[in-house]
Amino acid sequence: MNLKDRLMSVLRHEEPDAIPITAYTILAPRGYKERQLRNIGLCLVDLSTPVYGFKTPNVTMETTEHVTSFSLDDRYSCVAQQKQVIDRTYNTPVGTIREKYKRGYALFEWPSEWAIKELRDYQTVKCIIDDTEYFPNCDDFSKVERIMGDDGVAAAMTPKSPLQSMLLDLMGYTRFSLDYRMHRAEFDDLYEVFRKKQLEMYRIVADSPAEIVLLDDNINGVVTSPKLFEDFCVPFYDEIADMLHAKGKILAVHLDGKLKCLRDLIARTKIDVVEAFTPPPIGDISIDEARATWKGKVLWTNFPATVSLEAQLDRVEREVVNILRSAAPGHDFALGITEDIGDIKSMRYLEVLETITKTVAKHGTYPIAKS
Amino acid sequence: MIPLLSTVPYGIRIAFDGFSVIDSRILESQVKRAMRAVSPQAGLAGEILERPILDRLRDSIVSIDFERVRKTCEEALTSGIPPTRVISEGMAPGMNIVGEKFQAGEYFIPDLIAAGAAMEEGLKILEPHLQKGEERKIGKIVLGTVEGDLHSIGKDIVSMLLRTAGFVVVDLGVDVSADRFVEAVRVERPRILGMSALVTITMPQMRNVIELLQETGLKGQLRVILGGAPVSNEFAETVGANAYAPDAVAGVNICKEWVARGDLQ
Repeated sequence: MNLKDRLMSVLRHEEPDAIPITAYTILAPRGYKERQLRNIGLCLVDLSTPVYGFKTPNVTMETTEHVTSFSLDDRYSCVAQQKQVIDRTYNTPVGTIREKYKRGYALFEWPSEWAIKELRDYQTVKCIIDDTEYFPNCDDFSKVERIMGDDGVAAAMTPKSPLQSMLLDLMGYTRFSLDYRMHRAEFDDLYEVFRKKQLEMYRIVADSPAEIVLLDDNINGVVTSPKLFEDFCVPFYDEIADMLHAKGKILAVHLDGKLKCLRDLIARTKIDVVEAFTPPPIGDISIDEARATWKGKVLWTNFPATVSLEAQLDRVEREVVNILRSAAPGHDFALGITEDIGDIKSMRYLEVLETITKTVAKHGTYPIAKS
Repeated sequence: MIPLLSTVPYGIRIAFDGFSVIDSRILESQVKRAMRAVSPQAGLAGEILERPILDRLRDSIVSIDFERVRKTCEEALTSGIPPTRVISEGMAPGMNIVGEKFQAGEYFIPDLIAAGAAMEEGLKILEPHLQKGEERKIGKIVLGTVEGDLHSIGKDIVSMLLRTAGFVVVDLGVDVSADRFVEAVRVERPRILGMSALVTITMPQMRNVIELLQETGLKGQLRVILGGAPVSNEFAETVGANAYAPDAVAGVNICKEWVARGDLQ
């Protein structure tokens, strides 16, 4: 099987010839090393290109970027230094809101000042959501699919579900926790506006050429409690899963945190793939337990970054073997690199990635013996 | 005295079960006056009458009822309970129960945050009534998320829980360099340094901070505790930290134990 077919066979619940090993393109090296890794089995997953576009006719956004150092000769060095602050102001017919982000590793942005700071900000955020108009925009996605060829897949990445977006992008943990208890009417009202708008987006995604839809939800059960997950996430996942399944799509959800308390609820959802599942020590469910609990779902497991970062290469190899044995015989199972394990240009990173890929190639032939 | 002590509190319990807060407060103050008039053991009588208020405050924290926390704090002051006692015997036990429920998987981070905020509401009412020097401060801790890591949630929750437990917290924020940690230790002279990391590749920064503390001779003056999802006990030992906290509540409990054992003297 080629790399793409191997991964797709797992995602379609078919038998692969071997366990797929994948890495997001942003976490894969470039050039000779990339080709070498692909040649020994590393399948690339591109998440860079959405299948929809959007416009906001009545809302404008101004962005200011603050950097700690700058050179006309090397304008982008500030990014590498991770001291970049992005200050965004949204002007809407009902008011203005402001948010600040810091840019971190791999250019990920982390909020340092949330958009919703006061109760009146709910109205402004609702106005922005209401004003958003989605439209199909699949040309670039199709180009990426062609570029990936048989060496990987392009997945349509979608933003966090409404609840997770409110928690992680719009108000932060403290405001979220307090407003959920003390301003429930406003909280629920915003959620509902958000939910309806995202469903408009998913209708477009469902009609797109993408076969895999990856919802970037970053769930951690310690924060998104079973009650929140059951009341908000489960019905939302099921609603979009019905929509996507009707058009033959596979719904994967990025669930990379501690999930033990959500274990049974996740089993009940209609999602197809638990993506970025992370076993202990970062996660709190073993692969055996996850496989037993989530029968019928694909477990796309993240290789734990703590092992990658700290361990000697022989321990990395042993860990890969242990994971593969836990997943034996290996149906509905893929292994992936879904979180930073260091500077992708460093020798250490390349050695770890090579060790993982080689070990999967050596021990991951399907079906895998349990011991 | 025995009949009085055994029957009157029982009557109060009945009243508390069946009456509104206002009714029970009137009854309580009347009974309190009557008891003080007839009993030389007014302190004991006071304790019997004050306990329900403190217990109600504890329960208000556990049930995260902001309004009830505010009202019960005011009621406690009106009843003459010293503010330090309201904190240590009412609100702090409530937060302890919240922490236990978190560790038992019954409460989650939003509950911890809300309970902490409810306690801070109560503290706003009580603090103006504390005598100078009476503030319940049990130790100073410097906290921060290490350089390169922009996550604040774990650190913020630890900070809030430490404050409600009576610590003075110097929160350096996120993306804190080793130099800034060491400078803060030099200036603030805390007994504990807490470092957090959520991004795996920033964990080595914890080692850098500890090494710099050792180089500057400051390590011996304080205890270092590490937290964050990718951090482990093994890692904490390797880099020379004194403790690793698997979660915020465990971290605060370790700090409280150090204080209780006198390890920070």
